[in-house]
Amino acid sequence: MKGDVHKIDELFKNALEKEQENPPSGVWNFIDKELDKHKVISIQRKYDILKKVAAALVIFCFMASVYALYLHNKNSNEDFANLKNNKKLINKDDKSHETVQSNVKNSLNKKQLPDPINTATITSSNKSISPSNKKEVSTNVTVNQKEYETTNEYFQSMTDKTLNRKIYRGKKFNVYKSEGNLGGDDKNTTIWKEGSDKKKSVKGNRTNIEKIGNTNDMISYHSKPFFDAQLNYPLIKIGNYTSNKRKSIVNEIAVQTRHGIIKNAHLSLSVSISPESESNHIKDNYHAMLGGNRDDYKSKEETSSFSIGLQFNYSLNSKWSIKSGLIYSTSSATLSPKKLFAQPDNAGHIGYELHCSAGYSYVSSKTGGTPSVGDSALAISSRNSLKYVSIPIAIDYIINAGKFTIRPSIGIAANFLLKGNVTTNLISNYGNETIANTSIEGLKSSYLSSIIGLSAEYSLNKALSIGIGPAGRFAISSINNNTPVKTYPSYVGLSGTMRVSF
Amino acid sequence: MFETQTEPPIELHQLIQNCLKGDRQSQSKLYSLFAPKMFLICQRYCRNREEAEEILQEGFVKVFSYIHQFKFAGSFEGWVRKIMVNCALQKFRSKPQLHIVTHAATEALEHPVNEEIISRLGTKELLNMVQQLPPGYRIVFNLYVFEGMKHREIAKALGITEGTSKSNLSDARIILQKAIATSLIINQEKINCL
Repeated sequence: MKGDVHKIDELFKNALEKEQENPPSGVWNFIDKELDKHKVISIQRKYDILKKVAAALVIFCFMASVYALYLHNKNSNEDFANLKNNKKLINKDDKSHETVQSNVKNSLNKKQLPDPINTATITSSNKSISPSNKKEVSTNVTVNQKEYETTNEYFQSMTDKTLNRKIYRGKKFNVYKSEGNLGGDDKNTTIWKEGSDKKKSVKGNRTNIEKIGNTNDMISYHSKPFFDAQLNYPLIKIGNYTSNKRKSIVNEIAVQTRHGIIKNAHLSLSVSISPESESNHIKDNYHAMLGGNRDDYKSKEETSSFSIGLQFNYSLNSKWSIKSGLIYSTSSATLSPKKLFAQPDNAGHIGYELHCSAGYSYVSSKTGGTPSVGDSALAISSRNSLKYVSIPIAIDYIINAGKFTIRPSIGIAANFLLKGNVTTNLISNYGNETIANTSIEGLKSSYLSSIIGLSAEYSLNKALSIGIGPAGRFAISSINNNTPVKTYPSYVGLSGTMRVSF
Repeated sequence: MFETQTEPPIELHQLIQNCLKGDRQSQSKLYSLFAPKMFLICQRYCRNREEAEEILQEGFVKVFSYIHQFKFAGSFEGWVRKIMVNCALQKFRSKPQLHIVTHAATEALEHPVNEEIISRLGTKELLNMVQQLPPGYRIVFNLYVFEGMKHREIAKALGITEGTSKSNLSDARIILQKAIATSLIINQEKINCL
């Protein structure tokens, strides 16, 4: 029995193991469709994952930049606190001066310090040192090289925190340093500024020198110009800068010696492009003698507008700048179909009078004859076009946040009419024709508008930045005159800006 | 009778590589290579052709979806076969009658089973006998006889005890013996009539 049982297993296995049977064709069709479905789902999932990763990256980058900005601000506050502490340690003793140096160095322990300055560059670029002082210049620089580098490192660490946030504007003048101080500690490095006032000169070819501070005391500075005809110490020209603020000068020196150029762009050129939506505020003008029915001017229009501008910005200081330039704007409005009646124009010629929010126009058929007064025609579609060039004057308030700058602006613009015309598709007794470029009557040659904007700009490098933000132009005076209505257009759009700083 | 696959074998490794890239033509070729054998396996586990087709479809969709998990270590046919069997098991796990144990009569066969007898019965008839087994017995019989699994493994796979597995197998054999005997008697009567 048992043997039979096991035989059954073997016999069924032998009979069925190797056998095959082709399945119906519908099976593969089903599998084919299922595989397509799976493919779509997997692609969708992949893109969903990619979208989530992209969103996470954007959020991460935003949080990282916010944190970096926070650290940037925190470190600058700490360094200023260190500076105040260092001031207390200053006395005439050499040892205490070394203590100051070591304190400065300690405060920079964790910071990445730039390469030491090339004093040879400084001395060789000095053009205003008198020949008699040249030897002393190199001796002083060489002897004090270590000290200079130490204090310079300190300034360099301050630079990014203070200078990059503050862009100073002002007249250019030379800056010198001397390795000695009058009546003070000989180890100090004193910073001198060549001013604009014509006053008594000091020794050598320099004029109008005023002491603005020394490296051991950044907080206080002399409020009055200081001149000393008996200055025995040679002045080494470090470079030039444009700040008017004494405190910033000392900071800027480190930047200049490190980079060679200070980022102190006081002039910039911006190009802006702005698609806009237009709306008109229309008021009745009871003084107009011509133009027909007022309600015709208030009929609904589909409008679109576009402006492109080129403006120069001049920075008054780190917070304020003024700008002006040229803005070209074009707007068009599509009018709904309306019945036109023939009327005599200002010159007595009879044409079909078309009314729009900008003014009125006399449309004359070119193919047919002259209509009689009172004849009617149907304007199936009409489109008016206004082109202006504006000269704006605006002020910007600058809010710097690292590489980002927020610039709210407000100003006024004079808008000069370049062209105002209308294109009409007319059906009259003489047939269907399109009459283009009929001038709009009643438009003023210029009008005033206010401009406001808010731009968020991102600095790509020292010279170039891009921005985007809302912008609006609102008419202060009407664009038309001697028309039954007075029209005040408003344009609101999103402006893209590219700025080049000089 | 059953049709056999006459298409010459293609470089299987290359075919699998193409299937990994999602090449539909290669997938179709791979399907045509293994579908006939797998279809019969599915039929052994199912009561009828329709169920077998469902399991075959489901199995091959899984084959192409998870083909990237095949590491070229071992037989590809064995890997596909495993997927088919798992699909069959998955289908039947959802049915409660797996654990039904019917007490088959333990009467001895009048005629001993041997190759000669089996040869008198067609393969289709034998397949039909397996398909007529109760689901639980059919699964255990297939896993034990065709997949070579031990009762311990079968019990673990099906979530039953070893004893249940053994009794299911025993009962399956008895039923099959009876079915063979019945079939032989019928065939004999037909011959006698002729």
